[in-house]
Amino acid sequence: MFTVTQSLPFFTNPEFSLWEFLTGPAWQPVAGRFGILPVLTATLMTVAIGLLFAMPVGTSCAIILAQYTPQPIRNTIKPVLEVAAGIPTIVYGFFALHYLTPLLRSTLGRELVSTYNTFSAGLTIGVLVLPLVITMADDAFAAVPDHYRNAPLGVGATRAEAFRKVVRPAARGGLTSVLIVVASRAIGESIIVSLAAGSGPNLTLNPFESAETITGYILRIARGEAQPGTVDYTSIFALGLVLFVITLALNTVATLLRARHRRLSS
Amino acid sequence: MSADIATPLKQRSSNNAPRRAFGVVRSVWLGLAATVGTFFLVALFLSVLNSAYGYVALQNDVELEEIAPDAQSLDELSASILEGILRERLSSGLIRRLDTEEPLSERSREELAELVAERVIDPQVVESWSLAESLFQRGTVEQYVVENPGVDITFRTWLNAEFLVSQQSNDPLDAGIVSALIGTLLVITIALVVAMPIGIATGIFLSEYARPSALRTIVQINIQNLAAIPPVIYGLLGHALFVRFGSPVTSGSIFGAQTGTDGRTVLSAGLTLGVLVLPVIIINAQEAFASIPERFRDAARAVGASKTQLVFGRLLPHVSDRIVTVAILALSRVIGETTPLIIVGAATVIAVNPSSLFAQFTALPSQIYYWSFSPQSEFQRLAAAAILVLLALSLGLNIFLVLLRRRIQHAKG
Repeated sequence: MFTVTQSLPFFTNPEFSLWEFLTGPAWQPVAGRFGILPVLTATLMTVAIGLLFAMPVGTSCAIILAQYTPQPIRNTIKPVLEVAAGIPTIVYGFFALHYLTPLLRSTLGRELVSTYNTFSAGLTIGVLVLPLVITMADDAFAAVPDHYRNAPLGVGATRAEAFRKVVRPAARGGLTSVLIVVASRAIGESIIVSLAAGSGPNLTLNPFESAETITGYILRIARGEAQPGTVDYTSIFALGLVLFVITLALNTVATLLRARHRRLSS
Repeated sequence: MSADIATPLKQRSSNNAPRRAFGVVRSVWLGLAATVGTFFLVALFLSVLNSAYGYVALQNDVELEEIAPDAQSLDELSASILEGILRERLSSGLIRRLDTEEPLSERSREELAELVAERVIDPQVVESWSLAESLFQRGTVEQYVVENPGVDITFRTWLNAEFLVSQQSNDPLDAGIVSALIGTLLVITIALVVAMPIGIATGIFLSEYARPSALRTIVQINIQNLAAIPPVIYGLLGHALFVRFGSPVTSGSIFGAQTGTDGRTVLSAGLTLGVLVLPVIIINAQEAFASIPERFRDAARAVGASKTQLVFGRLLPHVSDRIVTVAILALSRVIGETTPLIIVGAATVIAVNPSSLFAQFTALPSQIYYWSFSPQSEFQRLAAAAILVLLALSLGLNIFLVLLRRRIQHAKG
């Protein structure tokens, strides 16, 4: 029902050519250039950095939570994670701008790290999704039946080995869907990147430069006074459509994975 | 591993050492990860606190000695002297405006002193420091005083009572968030009032009335996808739908209201957030109803209850505590959403409280966002203070709902 209403606002400027849209290096709608590559790479970079941080740290925390912590501590940590997951994203944005970036600049040098950079934004996105990763990874590990854990011990493996060789591969399906769900969440994140990554699309692979993501761009134009009918105005809907398609694709994959995982393990 | 079943276990060559080492390395790695994770989450909170309190260096426009050479403080001056100062120092236009509000001669001494302090002496913030700097780097602060004589250093808690009741202002010392607070409360109320009934009704429909079919599954998948869509897109949707397309309704012109806004109203924002949170409500409500054991329905049907009686008389009260949980989830979601508010048109600078549903608005998250962009660092401190307010508000409402749920659960017995 609602998906029909969704397509209403997504009208795009009739002028641009699809090819340039997908591969062009510059995004300046006013100048008639519509390459989406800069904002896309920025989005991908922030998400990649965030995932690189959150997945290892998060799964490790989940492992500790699942296997090594006694129940009382678990019972306090789980609600804390839920609260952390509910913190509004502007708080994270603030953190990125006022703590992380200055920290990076003082440790790595001001010439290397500019005030707005994708690394801060990416890392903060990682912190943002960390509680989510921990909770979901914990669920994924809990879904592995107990005899997977105990059987290896019976043949003389250490706890660590049992985990590495048996439990983790078994949880791989669940973990993959965690990855995808978290990626989807990270791609859609707008405030953190708007505050910390910078404005103005910039095609670069250097995470210490400023660049603008798809979401950051949408926010910047929207908070200005773009009039309907101008190129700027329609461009945010065009980018919104791209974002929508990407997110929808990711979510569909995640749902399919979950369904398949459930079927396989039952 | 060489082994002969007759050899005692201890003598078998083994690779235990490396295996144990692996276990140790892994434990270290895990501990490291946990530390890093906890560190970041704690740092998050601390950095907000850090900005919200600290020393400020104030520079006065006009020093007290200039206007009243013999007085130690404004309190020593009488009302008439204060009035004289005001008339002497302020522009005639300003005097006229103040007089129209309430004649200066009739104002109390305290009011006049306040006016003098605010308008004539007019302290400006020239430098501010964070809490960490204030506590641990006193030297820097003192250095600044040495270099800049004529400044007063006071410790400022940016989050204070005036902050909560003052309105926006260009002067960071005066700025407050009352409009943003009211805006947030209005917007989330609209969102929940709109979304909860529709969402729960849809959940009931999907769970109780709709027969399992391909259509129903498709709808459910759609709703799940909608729940995962980034809020940016809801913002765009809300903008196009409520601000542009629906502006006659949302700006109130269809009802004859004369607010002069173009659809960027409280109502638009509330509706947009309502749409945003609707899928979440539907999914959770449906789950709540699906979790009711079948025997409830069987029992009701056995005594001849109609479907409506069954649903509203039996099932709904049974899950009322879970419905409150749904409300908690929805509330938590809605209260912190910034992006839709900005795209729908939360005002950047607005100095009046929203007068109606059809008025322009500002809300806490968007206010924090805009303040964060200000080049003046003092506004960053205000943003931090506002974040604390937002967190407190969110926590407070959550606790309220949790207590409500507990009461219902006790009543259920």
